[in-house]
Amino acid sequence: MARLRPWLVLAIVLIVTVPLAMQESLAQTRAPQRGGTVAFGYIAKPRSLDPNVWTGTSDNMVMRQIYDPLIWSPRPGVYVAGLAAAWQISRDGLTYTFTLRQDVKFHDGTPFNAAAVKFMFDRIADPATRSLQRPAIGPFDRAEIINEYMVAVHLKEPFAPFMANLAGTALSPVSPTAVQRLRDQFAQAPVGTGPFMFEKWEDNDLHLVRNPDYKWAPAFLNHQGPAYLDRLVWKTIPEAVTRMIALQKGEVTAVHFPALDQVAEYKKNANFQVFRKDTPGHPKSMPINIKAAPTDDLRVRQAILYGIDRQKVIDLVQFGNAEVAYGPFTRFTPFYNANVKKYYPYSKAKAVELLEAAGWKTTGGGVRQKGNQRLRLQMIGFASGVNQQLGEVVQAMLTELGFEVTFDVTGYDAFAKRVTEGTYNLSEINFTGLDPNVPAFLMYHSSQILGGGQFNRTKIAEPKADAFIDEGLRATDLRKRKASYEELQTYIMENALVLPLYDNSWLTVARKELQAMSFDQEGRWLFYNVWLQR
Amino acid sequence: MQRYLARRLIQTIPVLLGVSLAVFLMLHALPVDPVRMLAMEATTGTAPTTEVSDEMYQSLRRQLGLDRPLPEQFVRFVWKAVHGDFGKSFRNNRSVGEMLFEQLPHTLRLALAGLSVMLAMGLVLGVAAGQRPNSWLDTASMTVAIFGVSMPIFWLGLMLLYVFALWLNLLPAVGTGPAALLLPAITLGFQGSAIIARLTRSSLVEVMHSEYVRTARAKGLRDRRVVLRHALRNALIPVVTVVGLQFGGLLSGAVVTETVFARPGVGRLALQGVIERDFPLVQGFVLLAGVAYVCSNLLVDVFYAVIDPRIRYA
Repeated sequence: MARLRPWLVLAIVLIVTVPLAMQESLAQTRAPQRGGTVAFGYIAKPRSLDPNVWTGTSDNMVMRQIYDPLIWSPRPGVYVAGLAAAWQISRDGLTYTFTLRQDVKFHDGTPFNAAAVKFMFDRIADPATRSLQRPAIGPFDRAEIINEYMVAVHLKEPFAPFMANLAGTALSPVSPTAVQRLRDQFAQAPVGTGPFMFEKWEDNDLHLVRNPDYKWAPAFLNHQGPAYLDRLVWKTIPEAVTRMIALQKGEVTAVHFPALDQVAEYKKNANFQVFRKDTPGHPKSMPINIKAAPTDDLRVRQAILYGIDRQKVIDLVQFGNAEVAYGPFTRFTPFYNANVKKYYPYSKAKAVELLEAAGWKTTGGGVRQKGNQRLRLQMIGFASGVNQQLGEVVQAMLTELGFEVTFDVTGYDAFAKRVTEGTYNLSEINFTGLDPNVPAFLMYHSSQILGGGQFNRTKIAEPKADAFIDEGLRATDLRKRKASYEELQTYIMENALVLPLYDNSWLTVARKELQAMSFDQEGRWLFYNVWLQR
Repeated sequence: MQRYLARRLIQTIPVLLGVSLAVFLMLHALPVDPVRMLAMEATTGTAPTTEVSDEMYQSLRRQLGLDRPLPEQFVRFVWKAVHGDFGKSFRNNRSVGEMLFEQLPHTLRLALAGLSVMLAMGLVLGVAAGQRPNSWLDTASMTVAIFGVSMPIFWLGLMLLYVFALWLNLLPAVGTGPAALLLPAITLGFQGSAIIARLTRSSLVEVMHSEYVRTARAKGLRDRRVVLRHALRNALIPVVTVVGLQFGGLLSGAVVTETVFARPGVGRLALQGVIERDFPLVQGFVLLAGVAYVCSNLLVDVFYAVIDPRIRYA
């Protein structure tokens, strides 16, 4: 191959970069400024920052800054290069071959290569690691080093959610050298490839500093090279009111999990900005038990769906900070079927009509009866977050329709016991995840009624639904997956298996100087883009 | 005195064993499975960890040592604790002893600051009220005291934050510096100070009617000297007892105060441990609290002898 002449190189560089630069300047009126520290008010102290072993919700937020995935997902169902510059999936869906970037170094200076990727997979698969992330690699068989920058992952059977899982935090490469050196301490002193590096713990505050060598940002982020911020400080402030006070005083630049009742005020205040990121997965919902009377009757289930004013639920429980959900997947889930919106718009008249048709009559507005049987509903929920308030609001709305509703809020284990026994009509669920496979399988597959975490709380055991779910899990053909998931959503709503309430979201309130806040698909911050206006 | 101390220290062993056993049984009697909790926690990740297979569930249980019979688990815990090993946290595999001792200085600092507030406020209010019962000063002091007893710590902390950190902007809301210690110390000490104020008052009122006070007065001593040198010293005996008991209150109060003011400390660590059913962490904390309690009571006993020469230990 002939050597490139310098002028040619220059020309190519100009042709490529000038329009890019112009685009950049058009898109951003203010140039990002380097430097500064962002202190973040966070609900819980990160416990373990080892992505391959453990991911609690609160820890994932931090790990996104310290680690890079092999593949990024900028939009639902779309995958772009991360630490893997390219990848190939074999026709049978069993082998994923990754061609890695060659310019990547871990924070400890050791090179990122095929051995590091193999190390990660082997580590998760090894029972001695006690990894809670084992399910993320599904039917993993083995990882094979092809050359220094090429690695093949062999699966025992096709596993469609693999791509989505690769884009999450769980499958982020960690420095093998550091893991071997630090062992159990690695989770407290993580070493990854990300734009920010672990510096120190100061009491309960975690300090991260900019990675000066970072030059492997994914193309969809707003720049290349090191991050703008010098430092990130994760301040643990468990009490919401205290977090808000610290934010107002400027002791922190932004807070997560703001006090919900204060969000509206912050939206009006020009000194602050409110970010809401709706996440993919299963919305906050109440699965309806189709095996228990009276919800074994489709008309009763449909009446429940028509009769709940979800916007009002959101206004009362989330102080308006959420979007109404109409189906089993949130709007930001891949293969979300927008047709679900046509089902069950709020209509009390329709609900009453359905109940009357089902034989549940009332005289004078009391509890409806069929013969001498009263229209009773049992609701169960576990004490966490807004579950109690949510249940109470729904209970009140159902009572208005002529139901006699009991609502038991308990600890999780007592709740799980009720789920197993099936002694309820309405229960509770929500789930955040990049691929619809997870909520679809867990919540509507017949194998999950008594198996796994017993997440199939509708108790649906329908070969047709199972077939859609299995197809979505195995097919690597996107069109096939799309078709089966769309049909699944239609099936679930036509049979009124679940009362969807609202799409889950993360809320962040920040001071106005924080610029270019961005999020990954699951609603986690990407501080790489962020800069401070001074 | 030394023999007395030695005897007391030996007596603490069955106390600590009892406390450990009680907590151990309580934790295991809870209808909650820590292994499942562990799996549940991660359900919002990309991987559905609720799909934890039975095989993995069992191996997790084995590794946490939860598959052994209860008596064996307890004996193991005690045996290790005697050797200074409190086990490893279920959550992140760190040594519980290390986690607790890392946080302990923060809690001690807070507890001491709270104790100072408690004593200073309690004694000043109590003496002011007790010296002149039924005066306006008495009424005012006791109103403050009732306020203190009835106010939940949590609420008091938030109100102090609103007033001093936000509105007046005098103090930081969160942090670990000396200025950031003031509000938590007041929050922590206020309730105890109310109790001490009331006790000091009633105790002082009683002593002021005793004969030796009348004698002191008859000698022509000044009022201040009568109260501080003669009356207060005797009135303090019940107060010291209560201070010792309040120490336990300080520890539990620290859990709340540390949470409201986002301070590091063993209280918050333990709270997290309880929520997450991190058995080794909770057991470690309880043992630590037990030791602290026993020590504070011992100190109180020693203190009796210091303030009242009539008390002797042999």
